[in-house]
Amino acid sequence: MKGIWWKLLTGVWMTAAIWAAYLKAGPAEGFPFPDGARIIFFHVPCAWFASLAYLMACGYSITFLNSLARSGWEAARRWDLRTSVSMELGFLFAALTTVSGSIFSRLEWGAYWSWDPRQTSILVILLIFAAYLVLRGAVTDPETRARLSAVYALVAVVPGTFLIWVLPRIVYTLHGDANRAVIGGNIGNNYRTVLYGFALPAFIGLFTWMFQLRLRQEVLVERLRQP
Amino acid sequence: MAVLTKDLRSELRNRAAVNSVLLFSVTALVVVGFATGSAKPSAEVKAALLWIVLFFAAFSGLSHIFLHEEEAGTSMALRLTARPEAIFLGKLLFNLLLMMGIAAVVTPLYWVLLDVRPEVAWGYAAAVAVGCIGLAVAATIVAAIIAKARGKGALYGALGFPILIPLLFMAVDGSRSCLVPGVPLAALVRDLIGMASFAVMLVTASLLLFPYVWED
Repeated sequence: MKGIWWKLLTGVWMTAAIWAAYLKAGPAEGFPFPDGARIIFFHVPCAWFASLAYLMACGYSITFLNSLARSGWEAARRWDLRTSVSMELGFLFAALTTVSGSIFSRLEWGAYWSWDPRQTSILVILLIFAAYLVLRGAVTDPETRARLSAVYALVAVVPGTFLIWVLPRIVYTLHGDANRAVIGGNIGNNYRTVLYGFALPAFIGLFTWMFQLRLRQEVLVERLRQP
Repeated sequence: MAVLTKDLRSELRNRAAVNSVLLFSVTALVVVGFATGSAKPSAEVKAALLWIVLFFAAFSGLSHIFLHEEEAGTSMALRLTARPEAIFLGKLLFNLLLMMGIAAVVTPLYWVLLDVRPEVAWGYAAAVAVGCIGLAVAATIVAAIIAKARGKGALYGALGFPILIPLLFMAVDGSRSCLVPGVPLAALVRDLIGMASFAVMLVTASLLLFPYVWED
C-alpha cells in the first residue's frame, strides 16, 4: 500500500481537529451563542478549499486548452478529467460552506440568510460549480464537452474573481476582513491555533485524498468505455 | 462587419428573433405590472423588477444568433469564410443592437406601467444602456457555448445567471439610486464604471476563448 502513511496521518489529524474543536478551544467570548462559534473550524477550511478547487479547475482548463491546441485530444483529455474532478469537489465544499455558514448565521446573527456579501459570493460560486456540472451533463461528445466546459470555467473567472476577492472587501460585511475571522464576538488565539494547526492540515489531507480517489475512478471509467 | 450585415439581412427577411424577443419582453412587463398592480412598490423593488425583465428578455432570444447557424447547417460555411474573432464581434454587435432595441421598448413601457419617475433621467438611461451592453456580451458567449448542447433553453439562463450576478448587482444599485430623491451621484458613477469595466473584462475573456468553442 503505497502512500498509506499520509492517509493514516490525515485520519489521526482529523480526529485531533475534532477533539480540539470541541474540547480544547473553549467557547468564544462575546457571541450570543458562544459554543456555536466552534463551527468555524470546519466552515472556514471548507470555504478555502472551495476557492482552491475553483483555482485548480481554472488552471487545469488553461492547461487543457493549451495542450489540446498543441498536442491533440488524446494527450489533453487527462487535464479535462482533472478539471471536472476539481469542479465536483469544489461543488461539495461550497455546499458544505453554505450550509455550515447559514447554521452559524442563524445562531449568531439571527437569520439563516442575510445577503451578506460573502454569503452572496459563496452562493454564486456554488451556482457556477452547478452550472459547470450541468453543462457537462448536456453535451454528449467527450471532446466537445471538454472544450465547452473548459471555456465556461474560464469565462466564469470574470465574475468569480470579482465575487471572491473584490466584492467582500469593498462592501460592508458581517464577516471581518481576511485576517480577523468573524465580527460579532472575539476569536481568541487558541482558535487560530486550532484552525491553522489542526483543521487546515487535516483538510489538506482530506482534499488530496478525495481528489486522488475520484480521479482514479474517472480514469477507470474512461478505460472501460474504450473498446 | 460582413458577419453583422449578413445577420442583419437574414433577420430582416424573417424577423424571427426580433418578434419573439419583443413579444416576450412585453408579456413579461405586463405580467409584472399586473402582479404588482396597485401595490405601489418601492424604488428598490422597481429597479429589481426592471432588471429581472431585461435579464429574461435577453436570455429568451439572444441564443438565436448561434442556434440559427447550427440548425440551418450554415456554421461550417461561416467557419470557412471568416476568422473566429470577426465572427464573434459580428454576432456580438448584432446582439447589442437587438438588446438596445429591447431596452428602448421595455424601459419607457415600464415607466408608464409602474409609474416610475426617475430623478435623473440621463443617469437611469445610462445605467440601463451600460447594463444592457454587459447582458448582451454574456448572452453572446454563453449562446456560443450552448449551441452544441442538449436542452438549450433551460441551460441558457442557468449558465448565464452566475456570470451576470456582479453586473446585475451594480445595475440594480445604479438604477435604484436614480429613483430615490437626492440622487447619490457618486454611487451612480461608481456603478457605471464598475459595469463598464465588467463588460470590457467579459469581452476580452470571450474574444480569447471563442476560437476554442467555435473550431471543430
